[in-house]
Amino acid sequence: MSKPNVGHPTTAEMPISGAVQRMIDWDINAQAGVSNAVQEEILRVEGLKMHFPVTKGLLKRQIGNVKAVDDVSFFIKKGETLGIVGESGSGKSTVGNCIMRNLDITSGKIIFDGVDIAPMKGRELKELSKKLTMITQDPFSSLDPRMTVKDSILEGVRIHHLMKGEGNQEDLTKRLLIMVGLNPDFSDRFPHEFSGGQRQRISIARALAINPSFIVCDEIVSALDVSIQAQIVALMMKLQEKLGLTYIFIGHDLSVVRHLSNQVAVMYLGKFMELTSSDELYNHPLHPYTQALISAAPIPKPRIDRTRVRILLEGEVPSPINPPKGCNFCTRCKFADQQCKEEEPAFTDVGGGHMVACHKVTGS
Amino acid sequence: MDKTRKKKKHSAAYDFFVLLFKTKKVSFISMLILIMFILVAIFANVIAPQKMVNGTLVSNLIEGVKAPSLQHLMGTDAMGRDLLSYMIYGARTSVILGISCTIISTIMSVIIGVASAVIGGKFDLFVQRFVDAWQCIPGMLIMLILMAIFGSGILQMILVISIPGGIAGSRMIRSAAFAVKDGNYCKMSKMLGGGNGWLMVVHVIPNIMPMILMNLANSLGGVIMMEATLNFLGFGVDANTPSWGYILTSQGRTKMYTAPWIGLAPGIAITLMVFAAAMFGDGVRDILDPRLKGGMGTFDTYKIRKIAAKYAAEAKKKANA
Amino acid sequence: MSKYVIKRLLLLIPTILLVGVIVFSLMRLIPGSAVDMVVYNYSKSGITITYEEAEAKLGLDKPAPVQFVEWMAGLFHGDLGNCLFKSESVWSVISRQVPISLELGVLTLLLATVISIPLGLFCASHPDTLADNIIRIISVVLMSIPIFWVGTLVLVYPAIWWGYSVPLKYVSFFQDPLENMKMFFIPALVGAITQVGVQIRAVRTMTLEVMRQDYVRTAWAKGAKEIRVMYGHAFRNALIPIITLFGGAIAGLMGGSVVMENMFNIPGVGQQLVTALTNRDYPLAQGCTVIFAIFVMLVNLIVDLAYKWCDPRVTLE
Repeated sequence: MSKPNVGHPTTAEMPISGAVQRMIDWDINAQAGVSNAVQEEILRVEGLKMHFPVTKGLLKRQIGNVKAVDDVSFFIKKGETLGIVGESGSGKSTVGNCIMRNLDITSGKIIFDGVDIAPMKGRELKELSKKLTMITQDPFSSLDPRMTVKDSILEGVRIHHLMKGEGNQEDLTKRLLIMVGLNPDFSDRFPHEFSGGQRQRISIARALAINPSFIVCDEIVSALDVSIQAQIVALMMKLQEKLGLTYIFIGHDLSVVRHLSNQVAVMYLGKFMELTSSDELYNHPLHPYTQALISAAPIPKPRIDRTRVRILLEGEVPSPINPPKGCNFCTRCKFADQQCKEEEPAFTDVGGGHMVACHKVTGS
Repeated sequence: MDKTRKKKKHSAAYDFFVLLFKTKKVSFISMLILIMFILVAIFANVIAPQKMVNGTLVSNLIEGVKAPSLQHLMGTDAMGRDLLSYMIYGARTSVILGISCTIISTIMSVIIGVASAVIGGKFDLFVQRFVDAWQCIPGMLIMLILMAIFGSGILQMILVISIPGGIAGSRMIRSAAFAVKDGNYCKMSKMLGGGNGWLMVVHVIPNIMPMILMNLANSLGGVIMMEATLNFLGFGVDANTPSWGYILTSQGRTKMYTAPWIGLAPGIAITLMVFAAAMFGDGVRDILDPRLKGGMGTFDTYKIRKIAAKYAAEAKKKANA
Repeated sequence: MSKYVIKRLLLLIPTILLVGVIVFSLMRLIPGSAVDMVVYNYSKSGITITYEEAEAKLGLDKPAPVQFVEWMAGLFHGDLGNCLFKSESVWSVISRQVPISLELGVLTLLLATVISIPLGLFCASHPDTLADNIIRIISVVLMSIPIFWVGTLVLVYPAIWWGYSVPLKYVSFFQDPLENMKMFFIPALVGAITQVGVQIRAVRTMTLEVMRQDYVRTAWAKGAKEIRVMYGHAFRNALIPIITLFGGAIAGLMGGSVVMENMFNIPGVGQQLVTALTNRDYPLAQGCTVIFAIFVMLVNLIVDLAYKWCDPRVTLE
């Protein structure tokens, strides 16, 4: 049987079993699929709210809420990437955790593949975990130090009994390691023998092993060196192209997020401030907060970097337990006026799918 | 095959024992003593001068008590049984009880502690309250009550010693399990669809193995002492089964003046076995305790003080010279 | 602080309830019933009563949960019921004997502490020397010696060699302090043997841990004298875990007193419990155990409060 060439030099030497053949076919179909099929929505979030109660006293009376995520709505098309940026505490990781159903949301709908997954429990949730995975920030603690790389990667496969047979599993592991750019002979080593970047690759391989359609990347490159960041980002993009994956990419480094995402959302204190395509966001940022963020990102051309104008934010950072009555950003925004302080701006489309939540921009 | 890797010749257990031998000689010797006891227990029927017949040593009431002689190396007890044989068979009782109680109580501790930590929530709260309440009741009393419930005999003794030990040890295991459960890899496992059972077996237990082994090693000494105490109080094995504690109470006390060897031998034996278990447990703990690794500086002022004193003395001598 | 104390005292209640449940259930699990004993005893004196009558006499005819509730309710009023086989209330029996066990326990602990703390500190200040290693091994040996064996030896050999016999008749402290002390001294000493072994090791480990901290090194580098460093810094900070040890020790001593009381004929609570169990005297046995448990809980509370006093960093929640 002729071995299809999928572009990796080392696979030519490896024997291919049935399971791996399925995976190769899947690759090819995905490639074809991505280019031909009409983009359909894979995830739609409506009115997502995640409030954490604050308790006090012996009887744990609730005296308030931390509004980590407050009324967030968006949708993502299959094969695309939504980037979410924001400062620490803006709630971006919480959005990721809500979608992954690590938390029970306070209200809202999360429609994945046409089904609202927010109320799912038990067996349904376990089925869902095959399609939806997450990769987290810390490469050092996300791998069990007592399990070999092979065991870590195959964990999902074993939980869901996706593949029987030692040989098949071995095949799959090696193939995944090649796919993420690691030497397949390393599958019997332990995580502590790898560097941070390599461990993230192993985490990526682990996420891919169960053949998901959607991956939430929660600050996956933030803990790595810049050069390694570039490699991992490139890897993620290549995987997305080959396997037809959809990503939510959460981060705080604007340049990285821009590179990887089709759409970018800017989050502040639990609410989306702006949502549009990545190019549009960087070229024409409309929301004052976005403008401040972009002006703060360093440009790798010193002369230009020195001469541009930086927007500095002043003012008090409001607390998520007690957000301001009007716009969340009004305490630090230099355009804020009375209306901004009293009335919360709606997240509206100002043209061509560019959503902004700001009175001054929408002119309301 | 990974050809760049050095071939691992030895397993972790071998490395552990080598380390024990090199760094903690007393512990290693204690381990050998314990192994000696175990061998004596296993080969009791071969070693003992007077063999057991029908599960008991034949008494020779006519002859009665005899002092140590060439024929009976440790003399005989009041019932004419060879004391050395009695001691050997008694070792068997102690070893059987020691090993089984230690293992069972550790298994109990692990099950209770890990389940409590991983399942969490109301289950954990309830179990913890129960363990708290249990620990408020002094151990000896619990054992007396349990002995009253179960009666005497080896199997019953195993239950009586293991259950309180298991519950008490669950505390430590639970706190170790908590530390592991909150790690990121457990959260990832849950996201991949792993349930509580998967988490417990695949992630938590392997990662708390050092604590579990420590628990095992530390409980051995206590178990043996408990067994002896229960036998002493008369609540242990029946009169025909040889046991060190039992002969101490039934004959050692009364015959102390006329036949001191009956009172001395079991006492020394118990002390030796508990001592060996305790020293071995210490060595294991010193090597395996994750809390002792790193973090604690090894700066010891004593050595430096000695050196400083020496230099001060020399300087003084030079100044006076 | 007082809020914390009140909170802790309130939290004791569910624990006491749980202890009550455990003790009650355990008692009822013991085979052989008190009723049979009563019937037997009565028949020995020539009276025959039926099982039901005996049950009613003992108050055991009501269903178990009802008995439990009544008992618990009584407990919170300070009424522990009446002994089944004595004509006094449980409380009067216990209150007679708790002070005795307590005295034994406290004396044992005091003796052990007086011996172990200086030795432990010595070991900590000269770690890994020959003296340290010898003391360590001796303390493990002390821990391993079965106290009933030592007790036996102590009872027998002094009598043989010196004609000295341990006084075995109980005399109350208030009646004759000297006699009382003479009586308690040997049992306390024997009991302290094990405790000394445990405590020397604990003091040594805790103090060593503290001494390896940076602030001790600083104190020494500043030129503070040996004693000042040891007692001023190291020991004080090692106090906290040592106090925990004390708390645990008292609890253990109360329980372990059974053996001591058995051998030295001291009428303490441990002895009482053994007889109560043999006779299936439920109220008495339950009462003893619950009182023990409450005592342990109070000791834990005092230990926690002592923490706060010793270490200002500790926050009580």
